[in-house]
Amino acid sequence: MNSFARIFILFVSLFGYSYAAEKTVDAPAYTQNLKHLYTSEDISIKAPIEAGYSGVPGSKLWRNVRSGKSYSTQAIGDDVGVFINAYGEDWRLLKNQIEGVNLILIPLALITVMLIYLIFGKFKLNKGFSGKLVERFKFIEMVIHWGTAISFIILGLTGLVLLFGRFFLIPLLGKEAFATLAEFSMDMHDIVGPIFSVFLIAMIVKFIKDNFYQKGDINWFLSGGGLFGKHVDAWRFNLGEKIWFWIVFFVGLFITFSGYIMLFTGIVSGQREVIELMNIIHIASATLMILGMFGHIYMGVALEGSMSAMTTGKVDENWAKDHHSLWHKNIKE
Amino acid sequence: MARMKFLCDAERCTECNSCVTACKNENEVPWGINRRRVVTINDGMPGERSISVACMHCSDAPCMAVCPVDCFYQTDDGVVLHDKDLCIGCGYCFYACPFGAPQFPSTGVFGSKGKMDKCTFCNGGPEEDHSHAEEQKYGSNRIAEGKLPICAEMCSSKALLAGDGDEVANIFRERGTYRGSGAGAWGWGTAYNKKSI
Repeated sequence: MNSFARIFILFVSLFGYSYAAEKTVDAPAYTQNLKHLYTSEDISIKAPIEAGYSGVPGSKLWRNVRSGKSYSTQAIGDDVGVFINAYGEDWRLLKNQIEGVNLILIPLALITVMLIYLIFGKFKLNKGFSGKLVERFKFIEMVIHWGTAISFIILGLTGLVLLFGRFFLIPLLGKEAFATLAEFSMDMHDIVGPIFSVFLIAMIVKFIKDNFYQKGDINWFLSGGGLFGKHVDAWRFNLGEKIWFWIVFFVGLFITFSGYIMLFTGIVSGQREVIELMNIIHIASATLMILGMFGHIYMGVALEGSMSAMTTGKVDENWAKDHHSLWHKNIKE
Repeated sequence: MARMKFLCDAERCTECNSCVTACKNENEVPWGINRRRVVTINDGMPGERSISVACMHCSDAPCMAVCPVDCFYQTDDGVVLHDKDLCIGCGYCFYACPFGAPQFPSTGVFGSKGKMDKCTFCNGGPEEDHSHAEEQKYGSNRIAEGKLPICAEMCSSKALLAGDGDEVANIFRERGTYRGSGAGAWGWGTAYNKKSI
């Protein structure tokens, strides 16, 4: 179609619209007789018109209904004065999207980590085990670590049951059995959540001093963190571990903050939007934490000699020399 | 097949709250639960309008979609009902519902909200019709008796309509064309001492 034809059609349709508009502007017959009332100066007549309930019937009324504001009512309860919960559907759709991303990311990360382990296996120590042990973590540090880890795994599993159980477990278990499991999961989630937060804060306090930037950390980063065979000098924690610490720090605080808000706010007037937001933050940050956890567990399992640091608190001297040379030099002195 | 609907005529509702009272009485609704409530916009000002709100039994109900234990179901009449035996009281339906219909008996610490309760369109629940268990959990089942919800039946100004969507729409359309609206409403001239139609 050439441009001339387009312009011609545009003109024709514009003419058509203006013609149609002129025709349909006629109000119904009964309003014709009342036209003089609309223009009256009498306040008693103008009042309902100015209140917006004349002319187009109810347009202002239904806008107010949709606004999400609270109006007067005789009912006693939470948010009873609000006609329409304006953000409920937005929350649900956003939650669905995040769940969809979760459903791809979590299995993908799990499969990737397992594949890497299957392909590359364990990363051996350069000179094998020396037999000499060095203390890496104190008992209290191990208690804090495992407290956080176990409570997080319980929270992660129960959370995933509540998020995805409807799609995966109901077909397996049936609705009744799943409802029991879901109720148990919800209660566990509510009880273990605060325990997790205590361990989390203890861990942050205990480990923060070794997780600030130290001289030489940038070299660790620039040489790829020893990914390419060669070990890089590192302090007690290398930059990768430090990054994981700060992820746990920020994401963990997001999780616990949003969790506490949801736990203790319940249903309170005007808090629906807050809880909807907190729910989104909670799910999104928990996903990040789960993904990080996979990587963290992989490191503990795949690097030979790593696991004993958290099971007995002691590591082999050769492991310390390989992975944390600067720290090893430091404690030797 | 009939599609059940509620419709509240904002031009007629006088905020008498008899729908609320009738509902509470018929279904033995406990304290603090508002299966139905009347909300008033511009209370005491020109343009005051009241609307009675309850579960609107959506065709594509957000509560049904969001429930983590899938406890909702829709009857052939389009009434959205739920199974209290499955409900875990997580409150998601309340956050998703546009009308604030789902209600929870307790708001204690640790998110314990109790089993959700909401308007059933006087249609009971999944238990056998008129059984003791159904009455205890969900209240009356008037639909099974061939009757409509008590709130609409009781409405003194016939503002609240309930029943087959087509019939409700026909009644409302007839009403709307007859009475007009705003300054064109029937009786408006008498009320404001001006020449009427």
